[in-house]
Amino acid sequence: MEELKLLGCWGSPFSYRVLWALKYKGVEFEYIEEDLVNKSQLLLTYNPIHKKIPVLVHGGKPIPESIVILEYIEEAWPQNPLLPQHPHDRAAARFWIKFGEDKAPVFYRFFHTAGEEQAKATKEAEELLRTIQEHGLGDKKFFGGEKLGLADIAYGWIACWLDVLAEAAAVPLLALERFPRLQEWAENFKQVPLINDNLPDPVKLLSHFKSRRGEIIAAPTS
Amino acid sequence: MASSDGEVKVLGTWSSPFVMRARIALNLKSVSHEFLQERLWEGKSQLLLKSNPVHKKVPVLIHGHNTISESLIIVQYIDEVWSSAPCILPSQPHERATARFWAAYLDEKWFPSMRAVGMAEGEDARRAAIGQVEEGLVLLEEAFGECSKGRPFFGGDRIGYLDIAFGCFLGWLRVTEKMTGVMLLNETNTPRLLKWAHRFCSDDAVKDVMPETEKLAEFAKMIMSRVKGAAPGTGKS
Repeated sequence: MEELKLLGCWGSPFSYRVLWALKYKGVEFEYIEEDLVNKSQLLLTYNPIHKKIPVLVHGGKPIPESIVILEYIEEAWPQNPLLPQHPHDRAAARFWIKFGEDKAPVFYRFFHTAGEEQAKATKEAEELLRTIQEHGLGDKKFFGGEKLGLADIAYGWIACWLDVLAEAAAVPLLALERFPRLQEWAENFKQVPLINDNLPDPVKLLSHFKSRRGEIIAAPTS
Repeated sequence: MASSDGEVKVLGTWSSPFVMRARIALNLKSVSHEFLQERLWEGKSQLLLKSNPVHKKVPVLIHGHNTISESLIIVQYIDEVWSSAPCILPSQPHERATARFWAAYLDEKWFPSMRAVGMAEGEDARRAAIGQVEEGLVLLEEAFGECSKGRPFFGGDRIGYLDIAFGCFLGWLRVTEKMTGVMLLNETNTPRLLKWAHRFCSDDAVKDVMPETEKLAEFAKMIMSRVKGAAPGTGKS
């Protein structure tokens, strides 16, 4: 069997996506924790263009960008499929995965801003979550329907990071409880055994993001 | 396998590179389809608003009862539904990942850097913007070498996913070259891409949907004067 490594970061939702997909497929891999402040030569070699985690390395060949990695995992290990069979349903899953990706910078802005700018960013983030809840999830148990799928894994940040970021940035408007269907989805998501066995430590996450928020607020504005 | 039955329509505009991707993919598969042109300056049609309620953007592919949005997702859908005709995505997972990686790079970094050239104000800003585009092209020249392995296209012997993802921008690239007087694709820095561009644009699946540079340049002038004219307090003509 070819060597499989994941370069990731314990606090990163992008890193966790890949971890969850690999666990779901039941494949063995080596996890390498990266220090994002002092990026390793390994990371810079494997992802010279973006210099970011996660990177999956399979048989010595690197695959960067979490969404590209998710599709790769689905194709390289067809057992326990994470995408539906029908091309139209696959297109729908891909649409929502892309939506989350494209809007991520808009979404995370509330965490990096303060005052009026933060109020505006919070409103935008709220609208995004409502769109995801109403159009993406709808009445379904999972984004994928009855079963967990790739879109659920891609939106795992809602289940584990949203409340942490909202609390750290003191933005109660974005607490998960204000999005009841997403909250229900998050419970179902976290109860899937393979996800449940691989959840980030919420206490450690909150402490980390509170400290990050402190740094952001303290930084001089230009 | 999924049925390829059902009427096929593409909702789009003649000038959009993203719309072109859908049309090239259908042409490669020899799928006859209707092209419904949106007149975006008159306001978005009811059909567009109904088919793509989340983004309200073109292209949209309408196939029977199904509507699919997002150009690269449309290309993958076309490849999966009309699976017996020539394959658009490579067959190996790692090659597919490489194609997807570069397509994402084109959409997220390279095309925005090219659009920035048109919006740059002042000679210094323009030169810096052109520099960014050129740096990206050098990366893409290398990627071409790795993906094509000596064959005519990123996809090998025929046009594939990455050819479509990149090639659709060639019309706007030529407009940018005309506007700036800088040959972005050239013998010195991008010899292979220079030849590839010519092959891509001459391909039967592409030549009828690639807009003429002159027509696109006129269109670009019109958009830019609208954007700059509409921007408050710029004080510039």
